[in-house]
Amino acid sequence: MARIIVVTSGKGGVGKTTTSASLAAGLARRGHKTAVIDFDVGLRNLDLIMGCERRVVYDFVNVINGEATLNQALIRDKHVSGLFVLPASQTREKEALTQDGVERVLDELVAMDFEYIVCDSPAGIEHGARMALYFADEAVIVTNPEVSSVRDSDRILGILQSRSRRAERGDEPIREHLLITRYNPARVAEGQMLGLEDIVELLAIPSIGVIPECASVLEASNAGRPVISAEQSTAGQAYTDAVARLLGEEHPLRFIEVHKPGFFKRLFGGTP
Amino acid sequence: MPDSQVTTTSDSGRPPVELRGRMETLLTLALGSADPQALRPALVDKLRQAPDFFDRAPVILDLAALSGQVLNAAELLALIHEHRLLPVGARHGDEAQMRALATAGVPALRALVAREAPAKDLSATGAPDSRTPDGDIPATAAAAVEPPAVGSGAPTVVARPVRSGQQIYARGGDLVLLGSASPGCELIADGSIHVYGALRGRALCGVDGNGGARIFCQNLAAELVSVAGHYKLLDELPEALRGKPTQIWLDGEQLRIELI
Repeated sequence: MARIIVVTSGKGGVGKTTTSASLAAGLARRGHKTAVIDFDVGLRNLDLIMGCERRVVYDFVNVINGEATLNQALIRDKHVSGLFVLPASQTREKEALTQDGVERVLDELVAMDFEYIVCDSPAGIEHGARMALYFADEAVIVTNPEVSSVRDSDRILGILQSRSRRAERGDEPIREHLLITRYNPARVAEGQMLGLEDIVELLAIPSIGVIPECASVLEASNAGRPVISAEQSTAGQAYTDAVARLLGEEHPLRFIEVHKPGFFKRLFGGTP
Repeated sequence: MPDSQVTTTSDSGRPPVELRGRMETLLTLALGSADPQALRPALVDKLRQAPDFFDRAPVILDLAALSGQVLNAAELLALIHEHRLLPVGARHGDEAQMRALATAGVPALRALVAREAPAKDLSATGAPDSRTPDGDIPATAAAAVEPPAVGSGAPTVVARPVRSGQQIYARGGDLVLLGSASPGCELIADGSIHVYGALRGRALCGVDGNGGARIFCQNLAAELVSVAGHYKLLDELPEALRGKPTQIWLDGEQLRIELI
């Protein structure tokens, strides 16, 4: 049975699209047929991060309006097999996403044997974000280690619990996963950032990963590749772990301790 | 408060009619405009904050801000009924306004409430401002009430965390929260409030005027606490109380916060 996963946060700029791209690519690399949908109509970004912006002909809104078929709009990823991108429309308003239309597209993806459907939510708690989360079975709450991001995540958790289809029908609630991004252990140690434990305590949901602040995230997005494909980078490895945990595996958290340079390195310098 | 009674005795010994003088706590809808077009969005916004609470609630119309304005009673009442409020009386209006409303079936309450100041808790026409300390509190403590037994109704038990932006109202009884309350949430109860996790949002107990209601929590980190309309902002909570198991209660006019 297909699982619909919304990647959401309330706050903007915390790494929803980066996370959507990497989780979708990671799930596909593990052999699961996966579609990732950009719900950020008007601020289309996912196609850039996925490096397929020059291959967008039809988009999500075209499919909803019946101007194109889903097969025409889905873009097959060049690097990972079983990964497809459904881009947002850049020229429309969020209101173009009707509930019926979104439901039809999701149903059709399920009928096409997609195992995972990742919904990249826009920021905010308005219509676009509501549509992205409404049909979700699971939610990945992307949070930065700072108070306003945590507050907004808390708000979106409340909306997941009250405004989703599962909530309205009284079904089993959406499974909530916390993903902390841009985590900098050194700054946490100095008290400049909230720590992992504080965030988990405030939000009271289980964590599926901590993505360290890492230059590779920006490099990967400029290159149009999900950062999970940068296998040498800490962020890439942390996303690989998060995907495994999303699939139910248990892995210890990495990259959450301050990295202390070794004795010889301190003595002789040298590049880390 | 003892009820004063005027009784006519019937043959069976039980009076067929009794007249009782009793104070009831009622919501007051303070109107800042006589224009239904201006009122409508403000009402919609105000009622959206607690739709169940206001459903078919009896209200008193306060016309203090409308002196001298022409009132279309039929239009005004249609709008109020449309929002499922039941006007049971009007006050602070001028002669013509009160006559117009009385003709439409809403009596003047002049004699009963002369000593009260115009209510401020439900100003439907002001800027929607849920940040004022008492902006969302449905009833003020100013109204004299006969205190019902604390927690006389069944408690409302909430097992999930209450998130920022969520509002929970336990009508007629206690609110028991097993998890934590997040910053920016509101816990409201006619009775007492019990929080077994951290209390980080706002907690308003005894909102129907019950001064005997209390707030109990395992970990006090609230933004605002209130008992029967007496509220306190906790922006400078003493270290001795922060994060500690505490109870909050009303001692006369004074709100007390104590370690348990």
